[in-house]
Amino acid sequence: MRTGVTLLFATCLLASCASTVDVHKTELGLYHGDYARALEQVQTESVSIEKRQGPIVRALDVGIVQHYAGDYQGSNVSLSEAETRIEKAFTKSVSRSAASFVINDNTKEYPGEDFEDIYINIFKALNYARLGDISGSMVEIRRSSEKQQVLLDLYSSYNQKHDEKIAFTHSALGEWLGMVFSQHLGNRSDAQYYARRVADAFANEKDLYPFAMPRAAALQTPEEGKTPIYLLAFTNIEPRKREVQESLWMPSGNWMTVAVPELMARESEIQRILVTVDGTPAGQMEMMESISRIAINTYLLKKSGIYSKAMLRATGKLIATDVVDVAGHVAAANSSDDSGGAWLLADLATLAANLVGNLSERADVRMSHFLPGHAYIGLVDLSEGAHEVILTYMGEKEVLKQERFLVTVEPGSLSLVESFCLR
Amino acid sequence: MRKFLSLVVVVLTILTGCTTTKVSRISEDKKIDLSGNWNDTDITIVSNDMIDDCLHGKWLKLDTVGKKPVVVIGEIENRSSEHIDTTIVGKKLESALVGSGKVVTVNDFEKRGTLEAERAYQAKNASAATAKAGGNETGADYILLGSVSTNIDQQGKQSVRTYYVDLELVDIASGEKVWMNEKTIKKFIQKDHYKF
Repeated sequence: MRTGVTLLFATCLLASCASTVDVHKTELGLYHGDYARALEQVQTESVSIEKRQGPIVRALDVGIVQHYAGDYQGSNVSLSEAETRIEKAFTKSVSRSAASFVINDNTKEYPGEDFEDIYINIFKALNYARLGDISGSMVEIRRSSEKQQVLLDLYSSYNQKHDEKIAFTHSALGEWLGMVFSQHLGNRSDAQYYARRVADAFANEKDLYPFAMPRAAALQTPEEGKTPIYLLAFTNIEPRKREVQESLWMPSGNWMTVAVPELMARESEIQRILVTVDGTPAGQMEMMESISRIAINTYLLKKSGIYSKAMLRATGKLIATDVVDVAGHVAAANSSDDSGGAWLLADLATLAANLVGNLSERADVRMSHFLPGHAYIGLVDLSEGAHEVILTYMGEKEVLKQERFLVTVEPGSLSLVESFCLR
Repeated sequence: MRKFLSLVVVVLTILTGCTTTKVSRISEDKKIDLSGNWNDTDITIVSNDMIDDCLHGKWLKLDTVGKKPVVVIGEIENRSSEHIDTTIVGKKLESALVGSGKVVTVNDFEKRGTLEAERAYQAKNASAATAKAGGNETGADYILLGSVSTNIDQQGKQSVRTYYVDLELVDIASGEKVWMNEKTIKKFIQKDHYKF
């Protein structure tokens, strides 16, 4: 009887091993464009985020919201921490890995998703740009390119073995930023190289870029006497990981549960973004990248391994339960106790084994929460002086948000207008 | 039981000791690589090589009038994928050039504003006898330019990181490059795939 109680207690503990965390208050702040409140909220929630999902997710979540809130120095510190931890997570703990075969994948250290590692550098590049250090931005763009190059080898060997292909080779957004920054630094050949890479992404990664390449993505010479003003808008929120769980009853009366994480894209309310300069309509911004698509596509690399392991683990737990079941009931049959206590004990042990085995089977849904889902870009050439640029985020028919920027165009300065509507 | 408790106390004491930050002074020549990234050892290797080559370069013998050549430290561009402070290499080279007694260096490219601001301040606040006027600076004959680039080749737990550092002295009047050197540093980095 004591064994049964212990097992039930253990079950309750194991059930609490789930990695879900409630971040809806921060999401609400982002949804309403109240980034200061969102930052305050995520900093409050950071303790529970770290406890449930680990330090990488905490650093990523705080770093991204700091960027939205305009704390670029702080964002660089947090994102650098996330990057270093992802790098260190390459070395895996044997004991934690072994435990993940017995309990669930939440026992392992969260190593970060590929797309998170890539976008860390893209957001750090934007932070450096906002701090006026364009050389620093270029360092981050190169770092992101290096990571993508390493991933390319992994994806290519994955694609040789699987029908569902990973189309991702490089981020057009990262390359476009490389083009913009190189052009500003006067490195014409670098700018041409990055412009070619943008075009390559649109030409070769059709699954990820099923829309036309934006006109602003090409390397252009500004009109005589004018300076290019680059517009960059982020919308929506990255996909979320949710648990998909299925329980199967076996003829023995025992059951097995398979729980796997699935990446779900979120619908965006934004249909188009209109640009107005000094009161005159100046066209629309165009979709540059779907971070959601890239996240889901690159997740394929880990997905097949996670699914196979979950099946293996669930089967192992079922076999263990069957062993407890059979051994307990054989012992009860051979028992000299006629009161039925031995049978009750055997039933309880089987029930406890079922509960422990199945309730501990939880999907690893750890992931950052606040990266944007989509990126749009635009370009306007403006003469020297002060200008008013208004970005209007449109839903089906209604205006969802309007953001006004006062842009002062000076010779030699980089004008990159960055805006968010995370709905 | 008492033995067991004593053992627990000893283990806990040792483990608590492990969490303390310890700092010790080490020789500046000691080579320590922690992450595989650009570090002081790389700076020393590059600087020593560049200094030696630059001070023995033919460009130092070009001036026949007997005047020491004047050099200004220009931009050493960071074209790598790491946040490297490239001014350290420039400063080390400048220090060696001045120390050699064969070269004169003038105020850095990046610090010109500071001098101008100081002259403007003196013009307003210093006595006429001591205030320094503009237009008297020594014009440089040569400018030092350069860059640091990286290349990485990685597969699994192994990677090769290569740094290319190039420096050149350009004759400001003619645009001719009178000295240049390139140093390559290659590092083989291995990470453990598993830990206990």
